[in-house]
Amino acid sequence: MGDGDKGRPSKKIKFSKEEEHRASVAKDDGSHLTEDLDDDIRGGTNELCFVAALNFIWSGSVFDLDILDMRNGLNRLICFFGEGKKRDFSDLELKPDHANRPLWACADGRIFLETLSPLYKQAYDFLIAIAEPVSRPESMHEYNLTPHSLYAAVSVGLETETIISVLNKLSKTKLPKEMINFIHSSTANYGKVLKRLLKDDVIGRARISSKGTHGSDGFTIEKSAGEIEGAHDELLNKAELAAAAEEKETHSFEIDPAQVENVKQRCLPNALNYPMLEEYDFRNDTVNPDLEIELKPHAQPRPYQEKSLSRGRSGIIVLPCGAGKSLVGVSAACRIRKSCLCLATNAVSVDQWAFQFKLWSTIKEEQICRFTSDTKERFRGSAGVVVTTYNMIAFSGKRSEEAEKIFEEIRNREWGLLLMDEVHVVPADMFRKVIGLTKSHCKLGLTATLVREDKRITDLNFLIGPKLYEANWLDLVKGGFIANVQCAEVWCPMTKEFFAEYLKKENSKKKQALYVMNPNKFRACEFLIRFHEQQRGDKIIVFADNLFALTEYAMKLRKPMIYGATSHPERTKILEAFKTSRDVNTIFLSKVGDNSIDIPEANVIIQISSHAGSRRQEAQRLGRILRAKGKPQDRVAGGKEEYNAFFYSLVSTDTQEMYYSTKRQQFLIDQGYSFKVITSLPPPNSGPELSYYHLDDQIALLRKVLSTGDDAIGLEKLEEDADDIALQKARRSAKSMSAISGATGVVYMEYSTGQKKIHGQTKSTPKDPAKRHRLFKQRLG
Amino acid sequence: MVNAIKGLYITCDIPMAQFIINMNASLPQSHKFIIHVLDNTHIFVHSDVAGMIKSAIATFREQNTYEKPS
Repeated sequence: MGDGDKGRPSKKIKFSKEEEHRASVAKDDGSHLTEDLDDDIRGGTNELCFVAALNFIWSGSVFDLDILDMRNGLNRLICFFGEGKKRDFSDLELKPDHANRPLWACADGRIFLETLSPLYKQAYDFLIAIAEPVSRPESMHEYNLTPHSLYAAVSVGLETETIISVLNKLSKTKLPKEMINFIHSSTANYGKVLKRLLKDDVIGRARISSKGTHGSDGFTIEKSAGEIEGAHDELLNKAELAAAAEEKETHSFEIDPAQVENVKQRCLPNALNYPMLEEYDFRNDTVNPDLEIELKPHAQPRPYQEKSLSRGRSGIIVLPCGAGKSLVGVSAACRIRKSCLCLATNAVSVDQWAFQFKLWSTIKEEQICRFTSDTKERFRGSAGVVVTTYNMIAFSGKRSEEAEKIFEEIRNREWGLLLMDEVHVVPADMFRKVIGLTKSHCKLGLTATLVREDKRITDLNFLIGPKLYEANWLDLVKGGFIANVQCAEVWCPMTKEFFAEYLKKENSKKKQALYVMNPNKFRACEFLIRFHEQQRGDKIIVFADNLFALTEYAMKLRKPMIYGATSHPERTKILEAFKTSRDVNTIFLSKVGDNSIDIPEANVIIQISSHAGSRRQEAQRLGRILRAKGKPQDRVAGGKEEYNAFFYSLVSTDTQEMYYSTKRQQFLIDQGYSFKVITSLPPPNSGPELSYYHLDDQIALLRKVLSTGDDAIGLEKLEEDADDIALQKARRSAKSMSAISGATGVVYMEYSTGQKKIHGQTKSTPKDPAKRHRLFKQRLG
Repeated sequence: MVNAIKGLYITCDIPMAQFIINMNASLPQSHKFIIHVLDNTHIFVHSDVAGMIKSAIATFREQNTYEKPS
């Protein structure tokens, strides 16, 4: 799974200008490389490592892998295949025993770790503590030193000098000066905080000065971390001077709760550079009532789940789908043992979380309640768990009376733990309000994909907290906790007619429909479904964002489908049949299937159309099949079930879909998955047994695609969860005036019926009396 | 008498043939370069358009390729 090998026989290999020159030089002079370098750089027992120029492989170029022999030293490669001067590291001094050391440290804060080194385990644990992982494929990891990560390191007790000396010990080269200075400057800020903080305007204003304070400078000085003086009903934000020591003096000052977000934002690296860590001392909190819950004995947290929880700290935990995030959330709640507010994205999730709470902890029925538009419960007693959706809390319109009462209760209560599922949605404005509206001591965010296509994911650092733990997907696979997925991209060439239409300018809006409805793609999809159903007996899910395509495919292949407008009972029926019945082995899902629908039994996912380039969506879809299945001994390399999960992405070549597909795969590639490329599906000898073999069928399909209206051909739009009173949202759609007023397709013309009399016009000529009908002769004379 | 025209014989795959034909159709009459379309994968064009066709195809390919920003 480590070699990102994409063979593109018919395409030119794409190089940037410098790379092209260097690459041709390198190819020809492969032999020269070994001669140029000194003998003491070679040697050691390093195996041939297919790693090489990291950026280069990710741009998908095929390369002659012999040259990339690790014995020649990686920095030589980086200077060959990087772009421009900033990749030229040949002036870094290699230590004489560099072969025994596992990592490379660069001046801009990037660190590269070889996984084949004997010191890999220790170096990995150390690097996880001080740096943020960027990309972790099989053979080579990339990490980044950021102020946030260093701050997190110092707060667990690592000292500056320790960090620098350990890094030096593990590094192949002498640590660059810039990196040492960077570490010094980032970690020096930890400690001398208070006075400098107060001098800053924003924070100074936010401070509530208490009358009759003791100690100099108006600080409250406490003897040990445990004593919280007085009964405060507001949140306390403490700046700790010592990391873990409890006998030392803790100086603190209180901040107005409404200003908390401002203060936190001021402390970020782009302003004052004192990153804040929010920590909740739940054991000594006597103000909030305790919630008597514990983990059930059968709940065995896996090692990585335990690693991710510590001390009651606010932050984000990133675990892949299927790795047991619910158990982590429930464990956190059981550890803190105070009231907990759990937020999910939709009503189905809410039910699942409530179920998970009851499954893993000793919580009683009356202590847990759900709050959604359909279910409004309250818990009895002084403390409990409330599970609700983001929309229910952030909703700004009018609520029903009962919902309003419950909402007020939620607002006024002081929560011990705010548990946020799928926390990557929180930076969006609507969801941010949730954090402002509720008071909680400890905030824990859970997600599988900490990426968004806009840049707002960094807002999470001050909204919730730093990243506490990010799981290594490959390690989880090796440990058998998640399934071993074989990812593949199937290239389907466009047919002549479809491609001709795709290129025409007037069809620009229909481009997506054209490359999704490509008949070759249809045949590939049908072939894959048949193969997996009949020969392996797998359960298959087919994803399609484009509603038109979804309907066409499902109808033609005669399989059930679920999309936004499918009613709840029908969805349940289809999902039940999928889980249990032998006859229903394939279902088609639209965007609704991306999150939360829990389908543990599926093995195969086929993606025929997708939302342009969304990495999060790709990872979430992969999560549908990540649950580990089969016995552990079968799942090792070479065993029966070595690859027991398959993820196919069908792409039409020479279209925009190629671009979006590569973009989407970036997240999964960073986690270590590599996408195999399959070009010969369906096999060329398969003829009429797959649909659209004949040209007339294809042309009929093309005509259908072209004649469907522009809005029907697009992506599906989903309604969100709503409260009782319907959301009165304005809906925008791009249409012409005649379409909105209902006049599309109608041709009419005005003509006068003669009823109207134009002003000034006299009566028509009087009739000749002689010609009148006899009946009127008498009357009118 | 036989009339002979000197030109360029292009062999390609089906989608690229369509691309070339489309490009030809979008040019004004005086710039049209296709002499004859032989079949789905072979085209006969004027001799001096080789560079232009290659660069057009390269641009098209680049649009469809995603490069990870470093």
